[in-house]
Amino acid sequence: MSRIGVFICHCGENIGKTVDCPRVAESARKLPGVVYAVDYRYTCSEPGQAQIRDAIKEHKLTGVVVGACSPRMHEKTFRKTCAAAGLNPYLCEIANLREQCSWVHTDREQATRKAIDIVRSIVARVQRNTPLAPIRVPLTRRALVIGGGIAGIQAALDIADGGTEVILVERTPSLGGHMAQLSETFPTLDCSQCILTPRMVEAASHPNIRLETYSEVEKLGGYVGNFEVTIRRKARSIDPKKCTGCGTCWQKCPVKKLPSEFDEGLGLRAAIGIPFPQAVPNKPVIDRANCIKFKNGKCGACQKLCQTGAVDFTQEDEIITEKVGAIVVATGFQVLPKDQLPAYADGDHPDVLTGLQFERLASASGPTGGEIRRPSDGKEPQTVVFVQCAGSRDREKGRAYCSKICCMYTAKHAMLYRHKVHGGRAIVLCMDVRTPGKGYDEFYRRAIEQDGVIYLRSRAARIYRDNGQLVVQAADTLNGGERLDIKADLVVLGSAAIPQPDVRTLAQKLGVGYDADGWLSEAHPKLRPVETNTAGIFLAGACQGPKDIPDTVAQASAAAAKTLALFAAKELQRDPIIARVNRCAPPVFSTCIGCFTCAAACPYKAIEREEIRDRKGGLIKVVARVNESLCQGCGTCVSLCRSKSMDLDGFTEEEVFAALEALVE
Amino acid sequence: MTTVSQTLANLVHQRTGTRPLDCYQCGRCAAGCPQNVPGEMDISPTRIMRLLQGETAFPEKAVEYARQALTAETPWLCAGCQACTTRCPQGVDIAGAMDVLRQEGLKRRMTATTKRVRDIQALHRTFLNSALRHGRIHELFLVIGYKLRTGHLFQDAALGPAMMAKGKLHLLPGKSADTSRVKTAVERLKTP
Amino acid sequence: MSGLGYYPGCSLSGSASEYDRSLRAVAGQLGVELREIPEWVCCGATSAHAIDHNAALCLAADTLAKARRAGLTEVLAPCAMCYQRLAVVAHELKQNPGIATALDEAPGLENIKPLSVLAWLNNGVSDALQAKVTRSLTGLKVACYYGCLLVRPPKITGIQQVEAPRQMEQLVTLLGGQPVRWSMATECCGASFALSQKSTVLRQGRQIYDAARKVGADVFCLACPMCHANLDMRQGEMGIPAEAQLPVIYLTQLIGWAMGLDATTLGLDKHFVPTAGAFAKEKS
Ligand SMILES: Cc1cc2nc3c(=O)[nH]c(=O)nc-3n(C[C@H](O)[C@H](O)[C@H](O)COP(=O)(O)OP(=O)(O)OC[C@H]3O[C@@H](n4cnc5c(N)ncnc54)[C@H](O)[C@@H]3O)c2cc1C
Ligand code: SF4
Ligand code: SF4
Repeated sequence: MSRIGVFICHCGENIGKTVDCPRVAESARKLPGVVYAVDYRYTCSEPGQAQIRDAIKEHKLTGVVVGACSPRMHEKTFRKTCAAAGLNPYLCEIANLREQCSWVHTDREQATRKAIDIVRSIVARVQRNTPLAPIRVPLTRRALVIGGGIAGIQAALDIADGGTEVILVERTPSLGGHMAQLSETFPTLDCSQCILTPRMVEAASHPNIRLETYSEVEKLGGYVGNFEVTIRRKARSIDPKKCTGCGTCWQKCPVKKLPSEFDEGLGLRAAIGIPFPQAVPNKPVIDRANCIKFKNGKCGACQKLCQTGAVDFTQEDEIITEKVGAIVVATGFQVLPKDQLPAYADGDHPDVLTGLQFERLASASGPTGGEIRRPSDGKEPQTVVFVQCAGSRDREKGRAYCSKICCMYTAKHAMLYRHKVHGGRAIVLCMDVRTPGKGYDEFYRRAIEQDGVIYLRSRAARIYRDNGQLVVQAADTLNGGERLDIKADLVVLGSAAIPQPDVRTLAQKLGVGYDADGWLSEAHPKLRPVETNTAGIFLAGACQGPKDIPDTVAQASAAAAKTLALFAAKELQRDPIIARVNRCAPPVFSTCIGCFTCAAACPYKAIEREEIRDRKGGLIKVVARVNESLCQGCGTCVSLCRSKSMDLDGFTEEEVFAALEALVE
Repeated sequence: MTTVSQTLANLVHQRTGTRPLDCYQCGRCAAGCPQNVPGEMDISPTRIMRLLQGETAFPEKAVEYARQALTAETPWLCAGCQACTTRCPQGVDIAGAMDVLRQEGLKRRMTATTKRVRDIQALHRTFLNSALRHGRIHELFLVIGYKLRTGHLFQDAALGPAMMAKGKLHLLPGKSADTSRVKTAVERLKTP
Repeated sequence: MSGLGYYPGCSLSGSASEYDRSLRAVAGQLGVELREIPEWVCCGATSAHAIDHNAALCLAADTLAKARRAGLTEVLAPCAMCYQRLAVVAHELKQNPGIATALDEAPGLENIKPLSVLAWLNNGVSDALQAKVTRSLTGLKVACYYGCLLVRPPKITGIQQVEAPRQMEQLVTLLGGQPVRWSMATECCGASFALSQKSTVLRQGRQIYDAARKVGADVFCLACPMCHANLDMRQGEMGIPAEAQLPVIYLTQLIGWAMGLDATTLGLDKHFVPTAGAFAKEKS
């Protein structure tokens, strides 16, 4: 006869407010097999856990049911508690009284009755639970970092410094990400390139880091500790071993008038080249879509002129596969293209700039050498209007969320403009200025008090061209909403930060979640901010949500710490929730009829063929066998097996049906 | 059933399906409103929204805030162009709210009383009466009716003959249409 | 021949008769049979929804009901104001079944679809239209003026590009004209104040005129009788000398002209600002 202990948690008021916990405990006490039942305010706290440990010893419990929050939250916690008291952890089950009961109901009586039902069901299940042992799996101590912005660089450096090998995959030809495009950075106004480029060089020369630039992740297989990743190295059309980065090719390339992506279309580039002078690696790439040689076979100037014979038009994409134990995703963000804001000068005016375009304009390495001159005619603008929340906090036509970085970078932009154009007027249109960061509010006040930036509390209704003159329609909401139509020479948008447009494809490849907007999801917004719901895959930087550099770097180091912590173990353990083909005495051996429907359906390719032979080696029958290290315990095979030979450890038919039958009593 | 004790904000919610409380006072409606310019609206659409919020938030001042919103010239000077509703990032139907304010103002006999507001009200009355009576608007009769109501006998006096010369204004009424069903329906909707 | 419900509305039966005439002529060329809704009533315009919510609903709903009775499923409403009122009420009918009940109508009135002139020309008949163009408008710089009600609010009209619509420009281009880019295409002309608050009409009208003039437009093209009245009849009052005034032409007149129809058929002689100059320029 089983001896079950039941522990009902109030979860503060979370459960206790809607569910009468003492009554649930009391009714549990009357269930067959239950020898002990209590309720407690916080069962997950130390005294709460002690209650469980003591009861296991005192009442010689053979099973434990904790009525509390979702098993995703604390199943691990309570199973550890049981193990500490000598009870096999898989004999502990959670009755979800929070997410599936108190949070979704308001009527106390009904909720309490439902809680009683749930507990009864789980008690019935636990009586059939069998002790299980965790599966031990080996571990590859090598990390993959996807994305070579400041997040990816920082994570790679920290992991590499911890003594572990890192493969850093960046899809553009160079490391750097958006930070490489920035002019100066808030709140200290230090030059972005000066603090970033040394890190890029360090990453490239670190003995533990292998760079894969101009490469993308094609496919991911395996699981924590044992991922197998397929990487596509896109054809650079250059042999990096031969190339010295001398620059002859891009100086001589006759196609010179292509808009530079790095300069956000404000500068020009050739069909061969590096994206910016400090690029790492300093090896060019041929833009095949625009190269004359690839278009019509003519030209080939770069090849003829290259001293080392590094140009190779026949190069093809290369596919490589690598084994890694953990992955850091650091694929960053984009800014909202201005054509998505048609109210602002039809979304196509050359003198209406995105925030990133202004960074290039203000950058000493930018197309104007850091002078503020407007794109349409090269004139120095005398009035610049900065429009915040361009696409952010607009649930109707834009994004509902706050992009978090624009208040600060707009203050920076206005300040930089005032530093560079002394008599110029800088007007910022904002709703409220959000400056939660060290030294941030001081920075914003400095823009107003020392640098004379004008802040107007307004959203722009429309920006239009009045015969060449840009006019921004605003209203002073601190003055009753009086209308102000401001003539501007240049408009700079506080463009919303948006997820990488193709991030969903990547997330699906990796099996990590994303929210409705497309930001990658952390496992818990407070307590597990760098983990994903897939073990062994971590997040760093703006791919998880808009972030400034300090937050990005902090998160990247956290992801590195998580990776190193994972690698510190000798081997990994994982829950033994796996499928199993039954075995019985000869001459049947197994009820499996060898149809292999399961093999066709298994998404993890975990089903193998097993030949059962007699002593002389004669084949008796072929049955299915589950590869323990590949099986993820999804149960697809169990539901499809026609001869009912397949079952799932930890979720056996017997356990599940016992739980269901207890409900319909 | 709409009673006087119901807040304007609630009425706006009922009629438009959007809530003044959602307004975050960004000023976008004020910034793009063609009538929110000197000499026209006395208070901005953004401020109208704020008054409707105050009416809900501070019950002790609700009557006063409602009065301010209803007696402003703004609802009557609104052109109904929908620029505000189209652009509001919070999806508030500001133009719809202006309709509610006009209708409620008349019902509660609490509107601005300036000359121009009275003119505007007179035109709307003349127009609607004419539409309900004849089913169709006859422009000459509309103009005459309006002028008799307001006494603006000579405004636009030159336009009339010029329009007639171009065949744009007819002396004889055109066809009218039966509106008995409409009138019954309006009465039925009034009494729930 | 396809039968399309037709709701001319009061303006097209009165001061905007040239809009009506040109539209019927164009439809004739396109082989579209217009079936006027029997006994249609006034849409109520701004005045109804300004002062009487129920009257605004019932007037437009009654016309939709009459369309249904005549076996029509789509109703072309060339006047922007009528179109918007019908569209708003069709939308409202979905939420509020009480309106149909009050009119003793069976449910389902909301399924009668109001069509704006832009929707009709752009989606329904643009290919047929192209085939009929015989006279190109080459060289004519056209300021396409939507005004407020043709496109707004997007939740009702279903037009996504509400800030920078291009439907009218597409049609003008198809006729060989040259649409200009200008700033006032969707700004309000103040039409509902034509009689009661003239300062608005003159100020807005002048701004609209100036914006078009600055970018070198030869003519306005529009599809709203109120906008037409304000812009065509009041340029003098706006202080614009006769020689600088811009002709204000209905979209259907422009199309009709390109189809080779003559000025009288299209009512081009009914305008205050003479239109002949504009077309003369294009001929030379
Ligand atoms: C206008 C502007 C001004 C700013 N100014 C400041 C400032 O002054 N101070 C400050 O602290 N912050 C500032 N920021 C914020 C700063 O840019 C970000 O915090 C930082 O860039 C985030 O770094 P990241 O590495 O997460 O993302 P990113 O910089 O976006 O880098 C992501 C990298 O991943 C690569 N990648 C993307 N997808 C893939 C893929 N599928 N496979 C491989 N590689 C991929 C990209 O090519 C890119 O190199 C500013 C931002 C903007 C827009
Ligand atoms: S646009 Fe909308 S949110 Fe902004 S002030 Fe007006 S009503 Fe409020
Ligand atoms: S609908 Fe009225 S309040 Fe709104 S923008 Fe137009 S005139 Fe202003």
